[in-house]
Amino acid sequence: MRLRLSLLWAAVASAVGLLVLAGFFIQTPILIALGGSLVGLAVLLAGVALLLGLYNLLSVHLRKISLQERGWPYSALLVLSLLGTLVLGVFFGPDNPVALVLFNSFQLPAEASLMALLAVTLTLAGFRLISRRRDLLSFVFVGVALLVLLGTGPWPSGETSDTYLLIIDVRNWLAQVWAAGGARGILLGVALGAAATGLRVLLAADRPYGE
Amino acid sequence: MTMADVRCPMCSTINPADATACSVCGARLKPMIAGEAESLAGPPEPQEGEAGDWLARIRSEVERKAETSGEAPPRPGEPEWLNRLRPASGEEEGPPEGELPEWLSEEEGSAAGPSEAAPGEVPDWLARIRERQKTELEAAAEEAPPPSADDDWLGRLRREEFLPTEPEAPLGEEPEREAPPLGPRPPSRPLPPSSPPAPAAAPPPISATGPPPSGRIPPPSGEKPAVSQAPPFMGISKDLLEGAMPKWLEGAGPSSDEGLPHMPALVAEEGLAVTPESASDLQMGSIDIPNWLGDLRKDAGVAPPDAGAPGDSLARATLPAWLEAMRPMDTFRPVVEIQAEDAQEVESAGPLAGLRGVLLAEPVVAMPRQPSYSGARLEVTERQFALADLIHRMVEQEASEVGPKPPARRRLPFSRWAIAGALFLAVALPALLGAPSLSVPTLVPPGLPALITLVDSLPGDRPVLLVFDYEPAYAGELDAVAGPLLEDLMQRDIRLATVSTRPSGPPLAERLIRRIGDAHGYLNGQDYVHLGYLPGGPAAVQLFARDPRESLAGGFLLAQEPTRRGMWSTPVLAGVQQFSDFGAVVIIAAGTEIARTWVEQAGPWTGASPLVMVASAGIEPLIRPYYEALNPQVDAVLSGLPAAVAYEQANGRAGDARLLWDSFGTGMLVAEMALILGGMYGAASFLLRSGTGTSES
Repeated sequence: MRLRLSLLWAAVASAVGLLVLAGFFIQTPILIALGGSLVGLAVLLAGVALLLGLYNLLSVHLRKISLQERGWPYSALLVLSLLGTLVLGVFFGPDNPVALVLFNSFQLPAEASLMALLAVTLTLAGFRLISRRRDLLSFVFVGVALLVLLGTGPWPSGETSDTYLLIIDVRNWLAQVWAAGGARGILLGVALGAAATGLRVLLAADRPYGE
Repeated sequence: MTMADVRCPMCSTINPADATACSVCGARLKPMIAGEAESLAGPPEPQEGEAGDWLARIRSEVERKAETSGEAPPRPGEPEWLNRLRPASGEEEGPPEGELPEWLSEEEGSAAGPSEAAPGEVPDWLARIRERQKTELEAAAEEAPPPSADDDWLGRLRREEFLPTEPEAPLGEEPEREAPPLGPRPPSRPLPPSSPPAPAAAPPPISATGPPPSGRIPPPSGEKPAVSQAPPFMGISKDLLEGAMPKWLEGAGPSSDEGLPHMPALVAEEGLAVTPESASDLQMGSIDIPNWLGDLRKDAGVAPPDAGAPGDSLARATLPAWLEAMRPMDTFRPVVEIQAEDAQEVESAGPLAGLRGVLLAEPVVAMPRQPSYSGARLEVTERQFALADLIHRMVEQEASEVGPKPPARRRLPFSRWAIAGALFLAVALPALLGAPSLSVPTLVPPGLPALITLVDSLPGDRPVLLVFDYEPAYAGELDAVAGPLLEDLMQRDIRLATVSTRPSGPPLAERLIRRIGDAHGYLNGQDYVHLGYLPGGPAAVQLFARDPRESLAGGFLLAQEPTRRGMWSTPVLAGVQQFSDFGAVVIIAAGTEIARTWVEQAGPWTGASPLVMVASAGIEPLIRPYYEALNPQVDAVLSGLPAAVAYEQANGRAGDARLLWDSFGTGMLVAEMALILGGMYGAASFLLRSGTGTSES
């Protein structure tokens, strides 16, 4: 019985994948419509997964509040904020003026401030790295970062000096050759991995849906 | 308790003398085949130097008489004393009235022991007795059942305990041996020379009680020892066993009957003959002699049997190493010392539960002993030894107690505060004071001219789709970067539609468009529209690219009542039936993943419409491969604040990018200075330490 079920799930997964894939190569109305319906089901499942994540978050923090664990006031604040915005979104829509005010007054400044702290943290990390860990890789890392910064930001002396032009050229060479070459390698690896994974799922060699 | 009372060998209960079974535990007090005291009084094994002198004299006289009278010598294989006693085997019938046996008459004349009569000189009455006994024995042997292995377990135990070394007499000869009766001796029978006359108050023969089961005589408590159990080396004669008290014993202690050692078993009944088995159980030579008895013997002037033995002068044997290794362990006790009766444990299980003094199975079964085989020596390789040593060290480390960590020295985070303060001042001062003012970039980024050309070529009657896929944290950078492009689009009166795969995308879009569009008179629902949040990730992007109208129905901040067809029936989206109907698709993204999703999932559905990427400076290297390709999937890229400032310069209008440029420039300078100072500090400390190390060395 278990083997039969496993074969059934593998057949369903392979058939769905092949139908959607065929819709890219064979432009027939039936295949396009069938593929669109299957992708729509996937979007629906993603929405349900979002609701499940919301329920999990709520249950975890409610348990933390009930047990009076460490940091439970923050959990209580999170639950109150979640319930408040949920009520606003469900009953008044996501674009009601109160929700927009809350977004522009709390969420946006808070996240922007945290991102601004990242600049301070990275600068301090670079300073400590070059001052305390004096090895070749540290010098290379900090040297490259310094060159890119010098080539990106403005110079007080203006941009007419030969040194600035030289640094600009070095910066572009680093960004468009070294960095772009590494990025291409990463993207090629991601593409090959995705293609291999897709083929394994289509051939039922990988069964992420279970045995 | 009197001497007539009998102590139960099992539960130590005192019972009357005539009781045959214990009144408490029911154990039998009298054996099924009781031994007579006179059976024990039989001639002991003749030993050199220890046999009575009278017996030696009798033996020599008999031999001399046999030689002179021509009698046959004793039969080989039979002890001499047995051959001499054989003529008296039919003594229960006795000779006819008035007839005295010859050997007795000879004894009277020679004052010697009984002599053996020659076969030819046996009287008729004795021959008849022997003939009758022979026939009875044969008949009994034929009728008797074969002996079972368990019939005489007590006898075997006693033989094993009392007679570990002495062989038993041949069974075929035992029935013929008969000890003289215990009854009154013939008055004509002389006493041995060494035997003193028996006093009238002498205690009865202790042989009637028999030896204790333990084989040891209990320590004295002021009482006399059992004379019948005296070992042969003491030279106790048969007459002494019959009630005579030796001289050395008379002076040893009080002669009262009280306090004599208790012999709990083998209570002899008068008139019963002792069987050969019971007689062999009571061999004196196998009984251990306690110290107090040895002291008495010393007082009597008798040397111990092993004193001056030739074995003492021999050197102790040494065992080879391999044989020494096979010896039992020290914990093994080959001989179990049986404790005193009161100290013995009570049996707690089995059919003998509640009884005291039972034989223990422990020495046989449960006592530890060394195996009889020698185990092979364990051969350990170097690697195994190293692993064992490693494990040993690990266990030791685990067992060692870790001391508490000393409290960390609190240091002021001077460098952190200094860098944070410098960055804060560098960013805040230009924004607040407007100084210092840095020069704007004069160099045009490589992709900017293509973008400007592309925007200039966009059709005015088709809306441009703006994808706001970034988090509010990136709003500071991406709003400034996307601002010049929106300015350019609004300057050309191009309608705008926004969408986002993140819930925070539509508010960000509304915020940016309203801030820029107010200057251009853009109104929601007329010049721009928000399609809203597109849930579902990459699948939703693909679905939206396939059929925009069927994928999105909600909208965000719609001017009229949101209906499914109302959003798409607005003037902004008029003429848009599919994804390629948008004039251009502008993706504003801060992350690599979402940028790749839009390029890969929606790119095939754009048709002839250009795809423009407005990205953060951090993801530019990963976006550039889609742009710098033979068949580019991205038609234009705008990334980073310098490119935005350059775009504003190209448009001839200063926007948000220019306002942030000075703060951005000073902040970058502070960061560069921090790295340079860090490098200088590190180099200086390295040189100082190396110089200190050189001077010390």
